[in-house]
Amino acid sequence: MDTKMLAYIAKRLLFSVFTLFLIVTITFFLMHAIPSSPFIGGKALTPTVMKQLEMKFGLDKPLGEQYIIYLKNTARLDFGMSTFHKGRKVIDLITITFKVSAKIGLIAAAIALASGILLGSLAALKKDTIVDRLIIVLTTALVSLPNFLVAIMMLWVFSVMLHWLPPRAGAPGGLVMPIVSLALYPAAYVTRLMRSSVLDVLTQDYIRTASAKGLSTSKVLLKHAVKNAIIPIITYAGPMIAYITTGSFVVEQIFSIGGLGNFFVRAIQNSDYTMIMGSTIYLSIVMLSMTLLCDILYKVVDKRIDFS
Amino acid sequence: MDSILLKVENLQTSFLVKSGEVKAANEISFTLKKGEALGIVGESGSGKSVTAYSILQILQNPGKIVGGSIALNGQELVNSGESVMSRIRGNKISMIFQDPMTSLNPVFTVGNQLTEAIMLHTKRRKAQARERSVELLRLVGINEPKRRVKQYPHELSGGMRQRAMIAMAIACEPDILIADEPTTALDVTVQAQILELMKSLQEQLGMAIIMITHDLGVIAGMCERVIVMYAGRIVESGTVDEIFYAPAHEYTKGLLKSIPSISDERQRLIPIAGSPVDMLSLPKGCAFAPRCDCAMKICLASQPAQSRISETHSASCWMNEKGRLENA
Repeated sequence: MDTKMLAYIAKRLLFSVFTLFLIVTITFFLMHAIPSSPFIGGKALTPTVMKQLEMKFGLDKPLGEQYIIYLKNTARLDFGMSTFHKGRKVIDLITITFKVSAKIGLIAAAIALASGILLGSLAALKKDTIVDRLIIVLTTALVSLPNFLVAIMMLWVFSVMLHWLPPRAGAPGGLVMPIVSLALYPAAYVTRLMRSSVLDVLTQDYIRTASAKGLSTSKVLLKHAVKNAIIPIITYAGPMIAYITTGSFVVEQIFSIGGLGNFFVRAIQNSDYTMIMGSTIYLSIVMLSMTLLCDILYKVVDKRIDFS
Repeated sequence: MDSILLKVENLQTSFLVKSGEVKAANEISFTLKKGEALGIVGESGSGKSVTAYSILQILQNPGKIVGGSIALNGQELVNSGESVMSRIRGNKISMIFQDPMTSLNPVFTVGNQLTEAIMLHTKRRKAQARERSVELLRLVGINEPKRRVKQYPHELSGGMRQRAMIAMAIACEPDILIADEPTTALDVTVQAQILELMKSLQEQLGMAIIMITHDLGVIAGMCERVIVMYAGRIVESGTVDEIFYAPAHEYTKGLLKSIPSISDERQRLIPIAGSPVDMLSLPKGCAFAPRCDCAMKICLASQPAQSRISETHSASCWMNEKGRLENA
């Protein structure tokens, strides 16, 4: 199994690199297709100054040559200098802001997964009782509400009305609301996913076999049901973690957090070309790695999946 | 040999669904002696599996035992509580199921699922339980047992999985093995091997077998006594010879006529006309009456009483009471 597994991982890694190459290429040519320039906006520049700037950044070279230089630099994760934040490297900006987003995001993802798996299993076990109904109503509401609405409502209730939590992330306890507002949607989604997954697993023949063996109900659930029921959650968790750790613009904006989500959208507003391209590629790397990780985990849990 | 191992009396298992109560097992009474092989035969939905699940109390919601008694060696099992039942399941009474493809957990190795059963009911430690697993796999005729314990169910063929299921079921040398259509999902050649295996294990371990099937051929080859079920009730019971050569219920006769025979030349099979009854609205009289060629007025009006044909043979059919009714 191990050599097969390694071959599979190698193959998937190769595919991921190829996908990344496509993204890098598309990003490059798309940015060139935009009828604007990194030097437009801010102060009006004379054509001579514009020319000089283009020469300084190598933008006067033929497109093919520019593309090769860009590829070489990207391979070293060198996205150049920010065109908006003067004197700062794009990769440094990304690393700093990603750390902020990832910290909040990872906590939120962990909360979402833990509570979702627990509540989902509970709802499945208490199917058709008041507990189950309550969980269904609550999660349906939460997956339907956009998170900016949830964030603003929380801000209004807990900061403005009750004065329990500070409205800004910088203050002590300030991360509670951003984390909760990030976690609510995936928590509700995982709950629903887990509920239907557990319900499905409980009707399987091997569950009957396990109880016929004499295992207690709790042992049947914890050992035989959970490991099977968790498989669909893994599929969802990968992209969810990638999405949540790279920062939500809305939540970061509302709670004044200097995270990657916030910076990425601001970069677009500021026509910070290098920052836009760098962030896009960085986000793609995070997304691709999470997907890869989940696919591997998926096969570790479920041995039926073929490696070919 | 004559000591009674399992005694089921007036067992009543119902499924309480929105549209009413389905009496899936209705007034079921039978006994099982030590080391005996008893067949339960009937078509789909006749209540044979429900009877088996009731014995182990592994009924799925909304199934529930609503009455009667099940006694193992004199110990009452109905309402005995989960802790008593979990010591009985897999230990005193174990069970194998119809579909070996889905009856083993796909995410655990065969060895893991075997040792789990062993460690649950014996004092064996993990290493000893592992050894015992290998031994059991060898006993049920699986080649390379040492390699197989490390494999996952999907790496085994259907026949091998059923053998692994049997290994799991006999791990604690149970008094009773309930086999719920153990060969239905298997190839014909594999079917014979599995039955052969069960027979030899029965002799070696001295356990009793309850063989649930719709295949009369399996019954003929395996069992000493037969119970015929229809619409949740036992309609006839007797020794294999009595049931096969002197059936006393019109349904049993119909079943026997619908088996292809190798000796009869080019004879048409005679299927039982009509379809099984709606379990939610059982007729007032005999449930088989609407499909029965010999149905009389009384059959539609009231439930037939059980008539004793011999010491071992009884049937619930008004036809057996015809003489008595006419004389009355």
